[in-house]
Amino acid sequence: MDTNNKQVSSELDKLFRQCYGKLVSMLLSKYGTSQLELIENAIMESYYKAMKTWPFRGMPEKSHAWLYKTANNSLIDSLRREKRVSPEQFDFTSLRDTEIEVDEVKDPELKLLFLICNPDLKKEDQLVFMLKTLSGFGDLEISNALMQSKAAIKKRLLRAKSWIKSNDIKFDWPSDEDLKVRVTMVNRVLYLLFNEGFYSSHPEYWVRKDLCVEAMRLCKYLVDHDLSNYETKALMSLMCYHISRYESRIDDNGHIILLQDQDRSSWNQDMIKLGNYYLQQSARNTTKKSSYQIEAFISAQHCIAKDFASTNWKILKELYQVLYNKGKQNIVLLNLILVKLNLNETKEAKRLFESIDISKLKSIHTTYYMVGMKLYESLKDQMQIELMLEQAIQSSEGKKESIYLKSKLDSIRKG
Amino acid sequence: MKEFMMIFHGGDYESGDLSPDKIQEKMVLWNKWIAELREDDLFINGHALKNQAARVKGDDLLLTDGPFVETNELVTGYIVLKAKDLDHARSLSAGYPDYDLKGKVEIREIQTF
Repeated sequence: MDTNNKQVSSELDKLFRQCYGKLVSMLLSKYGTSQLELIENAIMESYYKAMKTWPFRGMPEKSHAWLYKTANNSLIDSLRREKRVSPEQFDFTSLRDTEIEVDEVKDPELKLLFLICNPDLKKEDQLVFMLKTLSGFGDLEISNALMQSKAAIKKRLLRAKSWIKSNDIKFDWPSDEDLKVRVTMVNRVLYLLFNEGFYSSHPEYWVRKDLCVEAMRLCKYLVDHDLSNYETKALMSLMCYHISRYESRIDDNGHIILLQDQDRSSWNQDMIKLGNYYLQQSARNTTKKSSYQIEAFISAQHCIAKDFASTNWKILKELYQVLYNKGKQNIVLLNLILVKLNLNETKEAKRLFESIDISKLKSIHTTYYMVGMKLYESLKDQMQIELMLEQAIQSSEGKKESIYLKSKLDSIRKG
Repeated sequence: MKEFMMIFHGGDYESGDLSPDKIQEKMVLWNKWIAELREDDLFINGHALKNQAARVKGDDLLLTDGPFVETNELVTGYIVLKAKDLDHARSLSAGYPDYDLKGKVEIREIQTF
């Protein structure tokens, strides 16, 4: 008996969240998108029931199937209560031996992913909707993770749901031509999800990593499926490279550690190998280079360098230049400037830095000032360094970087 | 050893805004607590209770539907366990996971003859 209970705790790790998207998508295939609201309630009800009975009676052997059955039953109850269907409509016998194997579930989950990533929905709404229905995040968790108010999250969810209702969106695969476009869309949302987790400097560390892991889980589903394209594989590779050094970026106190100071021996070699594998896969049967692929190449350069000094800055310069020409993004330009500084192309770096329009920086002010600080360090301009640091601190209030920046300013002032 | 009943008031999940992950965290804590009691051979039995209630009154068995009290007073579950005395029982109640949801534990010694 004791072992049973201990087992419960370890097996339970993330079970409820991981199950959520599977349950939603399976019930959606069965009852249709018009019942989404009731489906979500029924799943939560099955979770409450589990939590009220499992501790006392032990965990059922097939916990997934138990949750599915319970949710399904409670859904039938509420459908009956709402008189949306007559009980005869359901074939109860088919439910008795429901067993859920992970492989069976992938398909409806992917279907749900493609339903969510619809061009008619705003990208931000897609992301929130995805986190809620497919990834089993609570409203508060989404609000914390994306740094948006709970009211804003609720609004986005409402918008997504009323879009389904008013357009009578069916739980089907998109048409073959649509599918190709949709894969690009799905890639982009997964990329967005991963970056939210990887780059934003949110004080609540664990929520952030969950976002990365979730993006990778869905991306893995996708690459394992013949729906994915070469971009998806490049994206998967990129995620693997990045995640390999996730932990090394943050010290025990939750403070940020810069690339040059990271302990490279702690980088996860398995993930790097996986990154290599998917990068190769992405280059198969195509000569096209996607942004994801270039970013993966960049990340690979860092992963193969023995230490910071032996980084191949020349290749990085080219890669960033290609990437910049594709999208003209300021964040890429800032990275290019850093690379040029490492190549001692200070003059060129300064010219590029001064060409940036501060009013168009959006959320990357802190990065901008940190790059500026590096630039003036190379130019040995003490006054400008301090100015940049002060601005960086101001723009990073409440974020993880701010502590690092403040200590840096202190040490500079002390001389 | 004496026998005690711990009656849980409040700590109602369904009225809270709990995410799947939070529910899971709670469940892990419940499991841990009950498992510890079992391991020390103190746990006798227990159940969670549904919120729906009915109350029968008087000679004519008049039935009224509940719930009858505020959710934070509602009895949400109970366990029966062994303890040396009230103090010991109180120390065992430290593992109850729902204090943060305004849950309360009432400890009563079971009357024996």
